[in-house]
Amino acid sequence: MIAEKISKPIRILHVEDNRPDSDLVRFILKKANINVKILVVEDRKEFIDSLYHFNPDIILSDHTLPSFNSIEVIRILKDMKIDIPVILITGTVSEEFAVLIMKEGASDYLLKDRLERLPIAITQVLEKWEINKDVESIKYALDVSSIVAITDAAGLVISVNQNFCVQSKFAREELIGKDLRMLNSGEHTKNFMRNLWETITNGNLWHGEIKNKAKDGTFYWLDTMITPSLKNGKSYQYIAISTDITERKIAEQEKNSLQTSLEKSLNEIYTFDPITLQFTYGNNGALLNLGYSEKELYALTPLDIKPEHTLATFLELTSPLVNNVKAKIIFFTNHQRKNGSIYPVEVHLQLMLTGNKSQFLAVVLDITERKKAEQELVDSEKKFRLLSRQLDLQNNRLVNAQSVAKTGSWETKIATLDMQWSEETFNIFGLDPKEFNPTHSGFLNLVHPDDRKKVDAAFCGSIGTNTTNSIEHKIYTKSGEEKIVEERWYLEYDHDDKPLKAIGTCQDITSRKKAEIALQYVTERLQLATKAARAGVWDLDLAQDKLIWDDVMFAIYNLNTNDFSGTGQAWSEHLHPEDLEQTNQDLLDAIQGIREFDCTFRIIWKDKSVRYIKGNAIVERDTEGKAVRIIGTNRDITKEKNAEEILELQNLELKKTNSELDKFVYSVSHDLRAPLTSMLGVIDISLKRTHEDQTAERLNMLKKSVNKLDGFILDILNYSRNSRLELKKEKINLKELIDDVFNNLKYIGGNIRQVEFRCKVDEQLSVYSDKIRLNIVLNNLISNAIRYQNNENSNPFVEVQAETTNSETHIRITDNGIGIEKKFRTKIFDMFYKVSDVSFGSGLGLYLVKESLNKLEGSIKVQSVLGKGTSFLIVIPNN
Amino acid sequence: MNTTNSNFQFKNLWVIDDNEIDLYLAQMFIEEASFAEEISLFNSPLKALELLKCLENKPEQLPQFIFLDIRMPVMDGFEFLTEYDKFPDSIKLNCIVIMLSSSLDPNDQRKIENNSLVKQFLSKPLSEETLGRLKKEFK
Repeated sequence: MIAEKISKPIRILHVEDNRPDSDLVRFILKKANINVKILVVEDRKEFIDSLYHFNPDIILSDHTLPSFNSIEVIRILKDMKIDIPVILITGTVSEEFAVLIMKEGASDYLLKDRLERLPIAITQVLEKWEINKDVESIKYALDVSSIVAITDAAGLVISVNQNFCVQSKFAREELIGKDLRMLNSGEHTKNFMRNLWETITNGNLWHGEIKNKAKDGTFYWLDTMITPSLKNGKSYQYIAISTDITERKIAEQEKNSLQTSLEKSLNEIYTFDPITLQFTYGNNGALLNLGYSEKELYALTPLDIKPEHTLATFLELTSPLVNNVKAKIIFFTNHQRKNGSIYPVEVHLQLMLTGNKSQFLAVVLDITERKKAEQELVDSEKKFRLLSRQLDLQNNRLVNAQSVAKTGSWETKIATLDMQWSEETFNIFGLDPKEFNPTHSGFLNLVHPDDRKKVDAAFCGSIGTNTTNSIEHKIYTKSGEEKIVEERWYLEYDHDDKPLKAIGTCQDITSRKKAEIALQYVTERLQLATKAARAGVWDLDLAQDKLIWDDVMFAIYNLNTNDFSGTGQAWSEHLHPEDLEQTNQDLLDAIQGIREFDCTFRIIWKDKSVRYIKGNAIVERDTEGKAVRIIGTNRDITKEKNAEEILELQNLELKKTNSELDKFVYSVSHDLRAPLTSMLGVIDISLKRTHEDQTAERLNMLKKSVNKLDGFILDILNYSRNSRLELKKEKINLKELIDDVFNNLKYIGGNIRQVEFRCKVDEQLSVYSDKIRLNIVLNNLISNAIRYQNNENSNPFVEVQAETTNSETHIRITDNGIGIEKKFRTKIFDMFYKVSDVSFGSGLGLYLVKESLNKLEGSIKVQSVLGKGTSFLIVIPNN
Repeated sequence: MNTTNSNFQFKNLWVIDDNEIDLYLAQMFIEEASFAEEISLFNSPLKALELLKCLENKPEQLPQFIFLDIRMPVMDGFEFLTEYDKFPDSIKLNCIVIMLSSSLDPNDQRKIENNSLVKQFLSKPLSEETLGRLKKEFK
């Protein structure tokens, strides 16, 4: 630069009023071979003018002029903002003056007597000036183009340029001396900042992007270069030069997000080569949906994923693009994934020119969902049509139902008392909808005069209620037919609770009513009939286990209506537990159709008494033969049953008696014959063995047998008398009777020893009873005591004691005989029972005693110790 | 059957009857008929049972015949048979039981027919003819 300047003449403005001085300068400069152009001026005015017209590069000034001095020159330049170096030429100058003039702005000064230095001085000054100007320009350029901050080694701000202030929105005063960290945005990590500091403190350049926070909290991005200034190898200040890249950053982020979005877009984006048709790009969406990797995709062409297209069809499809007829085509097809599955797509295809190459760009939309939605729409449309058809159907059904149920519907508007009737309502009233306009009063006219008042009252009374109201009444149809109808209706209100309308139904119940009456009649007849038969009627609904009884049933079971819960289970609780199983089984058999229900069972009343019941029933079945209902009767047959039982008992007794009789006859005949056969035997022997003289013994044997026979016959007689003879009660002196018996038995004969008789009976004691029977009793007991004496006992005795109370007489007969073994003690009273091997007696004795005592209404008890003795206690009533 | 002594048909015979006259008669007739060498008379069936039990291992002392009365006190003829049935076959097969009775009760007759232990039923009184028939039958 300087070289260029030197070739061009240096324009010098010389402020000098002394000609020789100015000539000298000219001369010196010429001698120095410096290309100059000099203009000399002498006063201020000239000076100022020349500044404009001459355009000097440098000013030489004499210090003192008549109206002017160099200080003024400098000042004028300053004021006019003209940037030209000034060299002062002066005669003598003091040190203070020199310093002053330099301070004012002179670039150099020269002593007049040292003018040889002038060329060098000028060159140096100009050089410096140029350099300064360059530096200033650079600084300016920097200042206006960049954001500059200079900090000391600690990071405190030394200076900032205007742009910095504008960018950070801080005033210069707010920044100077502060740590730049005040602009931290929080974007950068600690590592990032540490790295930055380390770099610059080590004297290295740092370049990066920094996000800062402005005074108002907004953020901005700077592309920053930090240059450390080194002194002795150490950083003493840092110069940060930055450009604002906020917009760029934002654009970048947007671009990134856009790119990401694009990448992430589930729409499939492909590019493929127009010649080879091979894919050159597939976005994430494409790869995901198809299932191919990027590498795999690039080996494929669109035909590979379009099962419906051939090369020919595809080329035909894309020809409008190729031929520039269209800029973009849209078509629908199916794409096939790597795994073979197919999905419907909408394809937007363009032919793009990028740089030199043309590419097909396809945006593919997977329209599976859309198709689904379309299908759903069709389906729902179908559904809707179906529903409306159903609705029509239901409407028809309602009309039909009403007619079948003979129920019509109606509405009455409360305000106007106008009515709306359904088809069936018209039917019921026998009216033509075309001819009759239903109103409340019109309706009332159709109501039977007897019921009119009550119907109207019911209707009016229902207004204000919230429940369903109902009423039955008679009507006269148009043709004069009388019918019975049941009306059911409720009221509707508006939100002020004002009644709007009555909505109801009207059912023709004429036939039902008639049936009810008929049923009533039949029921009454049935009730009369069953009452007459004293049969209770029951009705069991099998499905619900509901059991209904009539009054007679309750009477039969002796229950009140609230004692019976009306179920089959409840009924079975009254059955006798022994009959429960069988009765239930019979019922089941009837239900299954195996047999009719005809069962006799017992029930138990509350008071525990048992009654016999005869139950009959008929099973009612549905069309499939399944039992649904059982209707039956119960009759109390306790009386008959009892009579039956008595009869049975009597029969049994009779049989028993008969068999006893048979037994008796055989026993009697045996016992009668036995002695006889013995006798025959003895006689035979005697006749045969006449040589033996055992006549006496044999005759004795005969006698024994005869006696036995006789005794037996007597017993039988006694037995018969006891059974048949009437009781003849008389006052009997007991002691006398006993003494008599003793006497008669004294000489009982045979091998039997006499026993001691002890009579411990009061002489006065009398008994009021039947003498014959008492005699039999005493006779038998005492004779037994004698017969069954203990042979080893030296002193056998029989003792009789007696005592009376008001109502009874007790007689005790005791002996010290052989006694009776315990196990035989009850048997001894059996007919024909003989207790001992000793074979006298008929076995009837004690039986007779028992029978006699029975007749006397007395009783007998026996105590005995085997080998020691026996004691009989007789108790007879004494009246 | 023991035929060692030709005089007597059988060696040992028991009569069980509660009536002493009938026992006497039985003895007479059996002796008369030389029916058996030894005659044992029991007026108690219990005593007879006791003895039978003792003789279980002495078969030579067992009776070949038992004449049994039906009507006896304490234990009648049928009750005796029930107890007798409990004896081992060694005893039962040795004896022939004959029931004696003056009973006309058809029940009794039926009971005897149904009882396999009783070989025959005889009516009292025993007689020469009856015993003769028996001798021939059970030779």
